[in-house]
Amino acid sequence: MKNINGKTVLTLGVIAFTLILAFILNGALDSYVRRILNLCAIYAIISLSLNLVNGFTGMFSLGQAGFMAIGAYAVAIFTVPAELRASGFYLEPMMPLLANIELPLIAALLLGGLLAALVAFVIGFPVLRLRGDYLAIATLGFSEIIRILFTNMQSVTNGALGIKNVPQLSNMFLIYLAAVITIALLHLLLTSSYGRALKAIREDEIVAEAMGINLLKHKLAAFVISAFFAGVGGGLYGALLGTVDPKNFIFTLTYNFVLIIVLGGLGSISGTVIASFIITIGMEWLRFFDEPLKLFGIEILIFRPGLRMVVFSVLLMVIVLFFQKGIMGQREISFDMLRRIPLRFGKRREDR
Amino acid sequence: MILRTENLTMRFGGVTAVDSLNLNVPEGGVFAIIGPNGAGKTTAFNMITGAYAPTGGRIFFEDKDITARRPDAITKAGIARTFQNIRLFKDLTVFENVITAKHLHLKSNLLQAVFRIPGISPYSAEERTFRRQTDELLEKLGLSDQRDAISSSLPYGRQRKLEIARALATEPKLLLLDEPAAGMNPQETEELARFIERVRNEFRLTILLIEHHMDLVMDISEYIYVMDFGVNIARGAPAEIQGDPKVISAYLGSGE
Ligand SMILES: Nc1ncnc2c1ncn2[C@@H]1O[C@H](COP(=O)(O)OP(=O)(O)OP(=O)(O)O)[C@@H](O)[C@H]1O
Ligand SMILES: [Mg+2]
Repeated sequence: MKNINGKTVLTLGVIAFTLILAFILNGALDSYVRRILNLCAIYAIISLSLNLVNGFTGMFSLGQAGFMAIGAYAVAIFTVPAELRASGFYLEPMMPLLANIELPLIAALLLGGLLAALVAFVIGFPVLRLRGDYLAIATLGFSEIIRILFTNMQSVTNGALGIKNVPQLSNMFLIYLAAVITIALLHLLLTSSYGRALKAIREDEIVAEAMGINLLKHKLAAFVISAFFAGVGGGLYGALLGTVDPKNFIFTLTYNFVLIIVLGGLGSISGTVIASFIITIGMEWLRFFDEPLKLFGIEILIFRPGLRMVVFSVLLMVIVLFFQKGIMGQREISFDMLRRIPLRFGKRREDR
Repeated sequence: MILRTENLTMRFGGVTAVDSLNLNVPEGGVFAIIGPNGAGKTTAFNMITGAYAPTGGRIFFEDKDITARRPDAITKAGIARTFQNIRLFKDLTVFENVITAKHLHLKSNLLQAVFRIPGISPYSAEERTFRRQTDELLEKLGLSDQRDAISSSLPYGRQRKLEIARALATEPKLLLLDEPAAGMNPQETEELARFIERVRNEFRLTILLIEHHMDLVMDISEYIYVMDFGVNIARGAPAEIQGDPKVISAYLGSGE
């Protein structure tokens, strides 16, 4: 019992430390660095949501960009001050029903999450009954359909013009708070009996079912919860960008999150968080690949927009081929593990 | 009758894997299905547990029709099984394997399980009960010393035992064992026989098993069904079966 309390205190300490750090850095960092660090946290939220489905439950979804779009548009539509909307919607005025509804950011984020969850339910209910990996195809299709839908719902989304003037969110404290809440809730879910059921489904569906686990119910729950967090993450993403338009949510966006969870470890929360930082910062750093490069006065032809994605794809293949388990595999960083590190090195030496 | 099948039939394309099987399994006791390879024994189990929907006939469990119900619903009703080729959750520990099978008894909903607020959510109390029951079960079956070992690291015989433990964690009334002695030497088989009897007595359940080890079958089962090419060719007490010419010829015939 004492041990559990000690761990709880330690956990709360780490959470408090993270939030205080975010609060302090928020004032200390310049806006460029702050933006990247905020993006890391948002990517962590979305990657965790994907890992719940792909890593912990053993399904294969590629719909994150679509769920993000729903969340981002919920924020964009409802948080832009009503008086600024008319100037943006100049091709076709905003639907009167929506034109005057303004929501605070938190409410819009939750609304976005709930709408994404609802859509996930509608997609998941028929698809998850089927045996086999139909989810990947269905979610990929969904995320393209939702983008095309948003491009064409002129009076709701302002179509291809997108919605500008979204009140920008750059407060690190708030974004990190959202990430911490996401991590905490997913941790509680995954360490519960429901979490064990999801892992059982990942390990062997047939056995899980023979142990009395209702496959449809549990897969659907994981998928819907995943969509909720992707929706919230998408809302934060929209608020961070300040402009939301359909081009932001092309399905290749989802590849970033696939890369993150594969690198971090399918089935590891801590791995996902670590990989979110590595990939997001790496992506920023690799920007030079997309810019023309001259070496000794000769233009290197392959340095052009898109090369960054090539580099990332190669990275993904290297991970899949040589480090299947990613950084963490299915393990988590825990206090017990940190305590054991010195022991472990000792043991290794003995082994030799 | 705890389990009854009426003309249970399974066709795969042109192959009739099980042909009008009529089982009558009374409560309590150990019953066996034997027969040469490909006789349709596992297919019968798969239909009873809902893994396959029969192409004909009906299945009654405690006089309720469970034909073609979902596997999880059938397990909830009280039938648990093991698999011919051991199917543990390989990456999970012994403890995790067993406690996972407690999930079907969970009453807390997902929100209660996530927001485990003491006094409001019943989840923590349920979880404690599951953990206690799991540890008791492991203790009873002699698996406690490897409680936290990854299940795939266990020796073969213990993996079989663990699979039985996991099935027992669902608290079944009827336990189906598909070749529990496969790959065991005579001494291990003998131990398994005692183990199965103990399980039957301590957990007060009915056991239906598929087995090729004749000594085991003759030793512990009170009634035997013999299948060949999907057809139930003989049934009776061990002594009757042993001398039945149809049974002998089925086994000899498949021995080529
Ligand atoms: N899913 C399936 N699809 C097609 N045919 C199948 C399927 N499952 C079983 N069969 C066929 O049904 C017949 C009976 O198989 P089953 O596995 O039930 O035999 P068994 O009595 O358990 O044999 P063994 O002692 O080798 O385990 C075999 O001919 C097998 O090839
Ligand atoms: Mg078989």
